[in-house]
Amino acid sequence: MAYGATSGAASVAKLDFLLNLIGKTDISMMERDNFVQDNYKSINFDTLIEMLDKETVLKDSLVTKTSIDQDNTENLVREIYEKVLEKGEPLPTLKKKAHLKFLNYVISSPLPEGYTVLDASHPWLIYWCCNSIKMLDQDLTLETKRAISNTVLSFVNTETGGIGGGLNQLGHIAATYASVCSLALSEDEESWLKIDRKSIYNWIMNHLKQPDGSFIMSIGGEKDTRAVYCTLCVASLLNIITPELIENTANWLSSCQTFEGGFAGTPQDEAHGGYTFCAVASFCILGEPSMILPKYCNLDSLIRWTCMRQYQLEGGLSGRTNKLVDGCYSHWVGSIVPFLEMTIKGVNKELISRAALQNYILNCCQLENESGGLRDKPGKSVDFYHTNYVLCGLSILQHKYFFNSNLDKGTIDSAAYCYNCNTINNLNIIEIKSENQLNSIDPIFGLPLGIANSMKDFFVNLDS
Amino acid sequence: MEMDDFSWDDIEPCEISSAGTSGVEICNIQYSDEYKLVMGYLIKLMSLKEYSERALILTDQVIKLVPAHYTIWQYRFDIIKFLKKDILKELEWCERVALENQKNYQIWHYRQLLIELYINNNGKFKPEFEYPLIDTMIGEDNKNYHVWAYRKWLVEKFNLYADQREIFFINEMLTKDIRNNSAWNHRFFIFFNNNNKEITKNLIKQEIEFTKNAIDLAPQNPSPWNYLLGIYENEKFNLNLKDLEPFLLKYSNIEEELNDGKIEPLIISTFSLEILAKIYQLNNLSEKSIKIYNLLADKYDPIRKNYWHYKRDNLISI
Ligand SMILES: [Zn+2]
Repeated sequence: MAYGATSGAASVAKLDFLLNLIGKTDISMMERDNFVQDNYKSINFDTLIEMLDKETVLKDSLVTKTSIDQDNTENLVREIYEKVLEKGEPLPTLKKKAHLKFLNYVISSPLPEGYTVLDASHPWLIYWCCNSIKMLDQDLTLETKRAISNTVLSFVNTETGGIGGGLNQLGHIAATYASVCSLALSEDEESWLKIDRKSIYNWIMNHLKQPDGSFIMSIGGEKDTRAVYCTLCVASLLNIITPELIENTANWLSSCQTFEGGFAGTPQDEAHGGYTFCAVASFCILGEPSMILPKYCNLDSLIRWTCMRQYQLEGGLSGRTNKLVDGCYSHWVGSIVPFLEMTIKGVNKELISRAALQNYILNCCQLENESGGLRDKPGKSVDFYHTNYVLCGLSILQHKYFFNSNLDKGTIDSAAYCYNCNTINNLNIIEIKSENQLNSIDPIFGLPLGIANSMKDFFVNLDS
Repeated sequence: MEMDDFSWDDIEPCEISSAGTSGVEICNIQYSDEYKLVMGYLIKLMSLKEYSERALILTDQVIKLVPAHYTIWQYRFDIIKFLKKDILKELEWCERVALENQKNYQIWHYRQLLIELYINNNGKFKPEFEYPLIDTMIGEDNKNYHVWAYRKWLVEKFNLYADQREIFFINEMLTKDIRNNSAWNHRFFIFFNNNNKEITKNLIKQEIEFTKNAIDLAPQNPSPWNYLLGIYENEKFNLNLKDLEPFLLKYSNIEEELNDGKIEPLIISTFSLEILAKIYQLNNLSEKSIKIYNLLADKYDPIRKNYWHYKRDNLISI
């Protein structure tokens, strides 16, 4: 490969930066060449040097709360990166074993009292953990699969409809989304037959659907782009999506795009990574990205806003303008990128720096010690939400997605099931190391690729 | 008031477990005895559809422990409605909950429900009532998404677009931190929302001036640049991006850089470079645009190398 420090002027400068950092300013050309051979091999390493080297190209002197917060984060990140560079290759890798240990604990033992704050989020816990385990290539045991379906089905609210966040709770569309995803992960077809799809459909149509095309979360609950995304995912996976259900929905989503280019929770709020993913993925349930995104979005400003989320020194992604990077946006923002790349002309177009984001995830979202779990940023503790979404982001950036219209199922949401992907096999884009590789996920549903299709096929066959 | 102030002899609390009861379950939380008891009574009362003072007390306890418990929030709302409780008092309770737990985002939707209920009961709600809480909450976390969204809702609900308090508040926020993007977004909403039928030339001019001054304080601050682009690229306003060229050159003395001149070029904002590239493209000077995109990719904004190459290659393919 033609990576080397000697391949161009920019790289020479980068090498000088590195040598300076580790205090080797005065060495012979031969030592220098050996150093390059030993330490300077991968795109990730090369990118890391550039992230640090160019960090202060343009920086304002005015100090405000935002710049102080940003500086504090940069200091934490810089310290980590400089240590990594000093150690040289190999770069830190994904601590798969530790993460699995962290996750397996949750699904195999009762949870301590402290988890009571998540009492309305049971299905989320199940989805985050089981999804992460599958990305890390561990199979769920038959016992776990049974436990998933038993537990989730006990959360169904037979009185008012939908699935709740725990026993005896009101139906909630986000909880229903996490539940349906968990049931998909259980691959327990017997339990799929026990979902009362008709009552979920009636609940959505009679209680959640709004005349403007949007949806509310629960009876009396709030309406936002998240509710739209969760509803479309549920309706699509269960094959209960109808023209009436999606009437006006794309138009409503469209009204949530702000002057900045991203999408807000409701019209005229601030553009936000989570809501932008929900809007973009929702559009892509309704149509092929290259057709539907230009129709309902200002594509130029959406692409610009998305790319602006990546920061020079950190390499991670932020959720809003002038906010800090956070590991979970590796998914919320990072997973928008495949849809955009499939929309713009030209094959193999890249929009963000995958190597820089991978550097942030591997170096800053894992703990310094050998414990498992992933986090927002250095200084924060790990949790299951961040573990899942950081891993989703890592998986997405390791794969290149294609829209394969041959997979068309002939349903109104068929576009959602037309994705294929390859592991990126290009050392100019990202370093390939088996220790870091994750199983691919579905860019729409956030499930291991293929699982959403199985569930959909199951219900399509049942209904035909 | 507390649980002990009421009699509970007439009901048998439900047995509570977090997951299913089949013995084959996952994510079973080991509740404390206290939580089991409170939830046991609550579930029972909910199933009996009892809307009472004693139920209200229980909701207070659970909400403080599990702020995201939407079922209990909804139950509380139904009780308030049924008992025809004083809604202003309930808003005060809600305010205390908010101040105790900054991250409790359920309260904002709950306040909306209460205010809607108050209005439906022919109450004349004064939106001023809301400002102390909003101000405190934004004071603690100046980019709190839910609070800003709530403020937007309040403005829409009570038609406060032209209220001097809004622009005063925004200016105060931006004076404290010119990089507060939530404040910039609220500003855009106040002036350029879809309901504003009177977007005058003067207003647009005033906002462009304000933004230019903000850029001058910190030329690499993305918020005012996005705001400026938001104005210029709004077709309804009929503005010409080219008019910005002299302003942009203050932050990117690009001519020297492009001509490989001996004078050290003064480039202090990637955003001015970006917009200059657009202007050169409009002027059919694509060569210049391409050079700028290359400069951004290689020198001034290398993390976005792929994006700038994409912009550049788009030009070439045209
Ligand atoms: Zn996060």
